[in-house]
Amino acid sequence: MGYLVRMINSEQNWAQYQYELPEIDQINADSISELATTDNCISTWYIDNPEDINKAVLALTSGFRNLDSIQLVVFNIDTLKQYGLTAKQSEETAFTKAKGYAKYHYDIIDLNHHRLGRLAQLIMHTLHDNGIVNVDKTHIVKVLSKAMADEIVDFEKLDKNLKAGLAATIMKDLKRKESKLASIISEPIKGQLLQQIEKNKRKTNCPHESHCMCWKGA
Amino acid sequence: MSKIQSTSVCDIERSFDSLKQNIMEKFIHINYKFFYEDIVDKMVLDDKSSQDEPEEITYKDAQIVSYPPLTDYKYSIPLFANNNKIIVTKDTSAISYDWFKNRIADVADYSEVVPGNYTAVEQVLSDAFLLESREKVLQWLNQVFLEKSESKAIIANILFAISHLEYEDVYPVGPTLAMLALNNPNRVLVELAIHAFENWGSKDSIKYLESYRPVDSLNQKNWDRVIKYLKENGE
Repeated sequence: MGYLVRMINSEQNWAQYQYELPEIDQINADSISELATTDNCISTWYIDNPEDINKAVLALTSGFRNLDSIQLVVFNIDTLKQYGLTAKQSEETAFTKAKGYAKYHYDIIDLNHHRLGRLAQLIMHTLHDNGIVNVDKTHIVKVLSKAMADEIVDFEKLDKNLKAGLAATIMKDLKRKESKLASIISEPIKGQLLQQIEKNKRKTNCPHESHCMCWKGA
Repeated sequence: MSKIQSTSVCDIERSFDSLKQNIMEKFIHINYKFFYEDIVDKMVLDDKSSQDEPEEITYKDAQIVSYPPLTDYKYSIPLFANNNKIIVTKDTSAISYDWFKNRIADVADYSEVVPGNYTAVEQVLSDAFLLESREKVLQWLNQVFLEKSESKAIIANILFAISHLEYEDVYPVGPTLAMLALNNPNRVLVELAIHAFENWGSKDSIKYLESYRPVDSLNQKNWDRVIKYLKENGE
């Protein structure tokens, strides 16, 4: 069986689901616009069951350029087939910085005008029946912290803006009495985060900051 | 013949080394603001193959495309776009409100507003924070927000960009703009305003939020969820 997880950019683009389950030719253009394809494929992440959602959260957010709360839709692969759609494992098109997670990347393939409409219908129906899955920033930080501790994610390999946001959020949490991350963050990772906090304070936009010393005199 | 060629290459290498050394001595301990304001009178990135006279432009008109590192010297200098015959003057006073507003208007692209993305508007904000004081940039942001309120792309990009900054760094302008956006008739912009409050994760904002309720049912649902989240997890 298995489930596929897809990020929703804006729930408002799917607002129709609250009032009606539209026919294929009645679906709002904004919903279709959200389904931007590459090579007639749509990217999703595979999980065995809905409780494994953190696996998809990690695969997705480790490739982010910014720390953001996200919204997800989860539908099962059998339903996908009922809508005349096919999903295929696609490691080569995966974009994730979680080691070993590319294998969970699935593309919904061979999309055309009609099938894109069917996929939009499927998402609409799923949102209507099961609702959207909200993943807040606190949860994402926890998932990424755990992945760093388990050496699934290398902090240094994350995008520089994500690193900046992550370091600031984790260090804030560690200063709290009731810290939720203290038991997860090891000393070496804390060291990396403190280094990042120092970098956050500097005044430079240099994308070569890892080997650029110009900010040190700032 | 081969000896002459070899000498010629050596000369070029020596000149380049000398140039690098010269730059290193002058610039090793600077940041970019300092770089523009106090050090560089004229920086010539001249394509030797071009016969055109170098064109002089100010920082205002220049577009930084990359910061290529000078190998072995562990620092970078900006490389400007437009062309390969640029003289950049030291004049950072040209960084004005108009520069900021026009740059944001030029790059604001609604399709970039995707969770987890880093937008071109964020880069403009980041550049502005380097070159001007925080207070001044926030004041400019406020002004752009008002002047460009008819542009969904600009308002969406501003809300998205400020949602990635720390609450303390954008206070009070950030939450004020987000509150203002809550009254926007466009439901997506209201959604982005709610998203900003969620991302900031500040308990401080609960007191403003509780006095308001979005009109749209989907935004109402999100609104209630975010207030609950802030009460439970807010800083």
